[in-house]
Amino acid sequence: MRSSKRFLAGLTLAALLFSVVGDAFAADVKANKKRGQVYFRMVCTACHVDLTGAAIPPAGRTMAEWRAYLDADKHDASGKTNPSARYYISHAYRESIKDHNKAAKKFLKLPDEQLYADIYLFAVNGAKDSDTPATCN
Amino acid sequence: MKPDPRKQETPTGLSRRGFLTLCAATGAGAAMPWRSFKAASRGLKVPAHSWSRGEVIPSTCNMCVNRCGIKCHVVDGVLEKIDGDIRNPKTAGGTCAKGQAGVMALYDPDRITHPMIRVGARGEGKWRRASWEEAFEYTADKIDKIIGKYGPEGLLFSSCTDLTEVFFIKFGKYLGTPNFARHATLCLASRNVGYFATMGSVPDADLVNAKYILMFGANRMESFELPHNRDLIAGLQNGARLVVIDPRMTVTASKGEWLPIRPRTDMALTLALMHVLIMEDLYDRDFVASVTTGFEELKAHVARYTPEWAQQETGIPARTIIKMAREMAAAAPAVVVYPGRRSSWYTNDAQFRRTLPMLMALLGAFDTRGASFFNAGKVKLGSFDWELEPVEVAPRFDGFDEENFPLAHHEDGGYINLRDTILNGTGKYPVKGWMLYKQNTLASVADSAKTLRMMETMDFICAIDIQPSQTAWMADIILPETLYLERLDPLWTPAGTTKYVGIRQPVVKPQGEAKTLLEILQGLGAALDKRREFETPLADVFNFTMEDYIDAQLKKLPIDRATLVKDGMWIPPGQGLKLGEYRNGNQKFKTPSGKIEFVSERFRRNGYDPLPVYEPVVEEPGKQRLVTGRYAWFTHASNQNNIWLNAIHPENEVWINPDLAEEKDIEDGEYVKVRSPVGEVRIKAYVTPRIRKDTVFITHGFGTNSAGQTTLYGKGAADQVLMEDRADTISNNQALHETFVEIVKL
Repeated sequence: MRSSKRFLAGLTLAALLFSVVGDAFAADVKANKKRGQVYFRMVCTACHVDLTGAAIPPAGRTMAEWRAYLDADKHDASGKTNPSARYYISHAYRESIKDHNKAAKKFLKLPDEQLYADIYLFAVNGAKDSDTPATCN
Repeated sequence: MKPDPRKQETPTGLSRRGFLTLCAATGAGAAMPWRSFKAASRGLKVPAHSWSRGEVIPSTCNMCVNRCGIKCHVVDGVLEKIDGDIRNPKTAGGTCAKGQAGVMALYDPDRITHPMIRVGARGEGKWRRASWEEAFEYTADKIDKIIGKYGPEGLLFSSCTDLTEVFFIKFGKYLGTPNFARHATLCLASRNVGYFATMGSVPDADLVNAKYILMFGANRMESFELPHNRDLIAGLQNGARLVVIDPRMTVTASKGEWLPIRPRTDMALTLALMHVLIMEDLYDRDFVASVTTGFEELKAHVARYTPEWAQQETGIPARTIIKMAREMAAAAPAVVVYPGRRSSWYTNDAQFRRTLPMLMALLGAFDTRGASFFNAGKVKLGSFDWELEPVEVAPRFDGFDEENFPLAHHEDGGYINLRDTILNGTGKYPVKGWMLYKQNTLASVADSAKTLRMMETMDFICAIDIQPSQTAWMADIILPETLYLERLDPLWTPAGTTKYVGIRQPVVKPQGEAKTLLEILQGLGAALDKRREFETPLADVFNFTMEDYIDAQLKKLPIDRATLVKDGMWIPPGQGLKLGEYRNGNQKFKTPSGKIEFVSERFRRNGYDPLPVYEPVVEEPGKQRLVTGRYAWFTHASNQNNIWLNAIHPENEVWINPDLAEEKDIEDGEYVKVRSPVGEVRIKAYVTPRIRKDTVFITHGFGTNSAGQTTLYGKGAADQVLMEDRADTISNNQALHETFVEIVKL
């Protein structure tokens, strides 16, 4: 049986997840995990597999690591790709790949902050120490 | 020509009697290569011709979920015989009675070979034949009306596991429903949750090299998973000690030491075993220190669970428990604490399953020879380039989500939860259409009377199936799918010690007008597109062939489809399982701590007991606990109507201990009434000392309500009629062993 601590534990977890998104974005941005999943897999994963041969599953990092990574907005320090993670969610980037990427095309008009919140929620919720680790499949 | 399977000589030239004799000679055909099979049949009267004649086509079996490699002997377009494929690394030539009886699944006279629309009341058995065009229009019309009235979330999609299941689920997603129910909560959801919380995944087991094998209820010799069957036999031949904990002496238990435990007390035994290992300082200190967390809390926790206490709970003597712990410690790390598979037993299953990897960890019995281990992974198949799914979808209607079942797999749904939600009217919105893909819910979910009531609430029920199962029999329309021997399926790759890619391909033409699932969805999608605008037209989504899909899967592999079709499988180079990576810290477990967690962080933060707490058993005096399980020749409720397999075991029985039989004056073979709080059945008694006096056993899959299953109809009784609908509290896996019944002499 779930113990009587269930409610408090749920509140704690909810608060934790809310802080993830709430700290980073305006309060009126309601993240859509499904949309984050679709964009993450069809843009982020697809590109990483093409360039490096390896996926970047949400379950490859902890919740804290994802938060730190996304909050710092540091994509790549090598100089080979854009250093900003946000760049790859931006309208400009979506515009540049929309002709060959279905997710970029579909979410082209979505505000950057909304899509970033979606990605954020999917990545953190799917982290390896989360309750629902997510793969790239 | 479609042969008449009811004639003494079947299309294979093998009579039913001959099939039975061969199965008996081969131990129900278990795990035996073709040459051995032939040798075993020496002296029997078998057809004059050899089955090696004709064309031999490699494929993949589908008579259960294990997907063994098979070779199909086809002569003049008729499938004559199925053998195991000796080259297959998973099954190495083995095929069981079920696999061989795939021939009769193909030529079963009860198969549905054209669409059927119900014309009488639901379940009355009155149907009319329909063309596919009419069937698509009829079904699309019903779905369209439900979407119009309730939205796409008014549809529920239920499916059984299969290689093509992905298409069915995709179809539901493109329609826009979030409501799916897959098989997990009828099977292994609680095991998965327990292992996931403790060590991040479910390990495999090196049964060949183990010195001590402990199985809780797992019936490996009858619930076939051929690699494990073969490995268990090899392990026993190598001298492994096998101890089986089960209130019933299964065939597996007969191969080792049977400890007839009092039902629902398994956790008392595992906690007491941990108590002895820790208190006698028999645990693996190095492993515990380097690979686990929470040991001190565990030590304090199990201090109260003494062997003497466990004896009172389990009925297993304290001295036996102590001896077990010492023997396991002596054999460690070459010990397998077997994870098991179907874990739909009790309402505390997820917590009990957690204790198995905990026991394993104390013994250091992981990631080394003769122990449990994580598999080498799968071949990485390419992804098909699907159209984008809708992302703005409603939440599930039944609250099977992060809030109510935080550790469950939410997309799989939970049958007990969803059925109660519908019947209680407590859903977020109504669900009025039910699409079923080979999911025989009436037979697979406890308390079938409740399932019938749930069906009555539906405006429309569509069953895509091969046979008129109990559930299909209650549908409004049945759309006939091709059998696995008639179609090309997506490729598959198993998780195992050897990686390979297998193909399932047509060996004969479809019977009647049966279509592949992909063809059915294409037809249905086109009919729906005419009625409604979807985010992406369904015709566009499913505008591909199975060959296209397979080519996408193969696009990054050095193998082409034609070669796979010819060879039946592909084994990539670079095989090898590297043990020791977790023990030496190079690999982390997929848990919050990265280690095996005696104290589960995932359980703790979600309000569940972070250490497994034993709940005393409550019994009902004068009644017996009902348990269920499987015989080697049947898969769930799917092939009891197969003429050959039914001939092996035409009717099920209730197993009764001789002492109970004497008290109730019941003779072996006599028909009795079995009564539970939710139903009663008439069934033949099998009086046997192979079961405890406080327990009765009924195997699954009999007592069909479908008169369309002419071989099975009227034979035996349905266990699910008797079972109360309890479920594991964490995973919602149904708990099939929580019902007490009365045995009544007739």
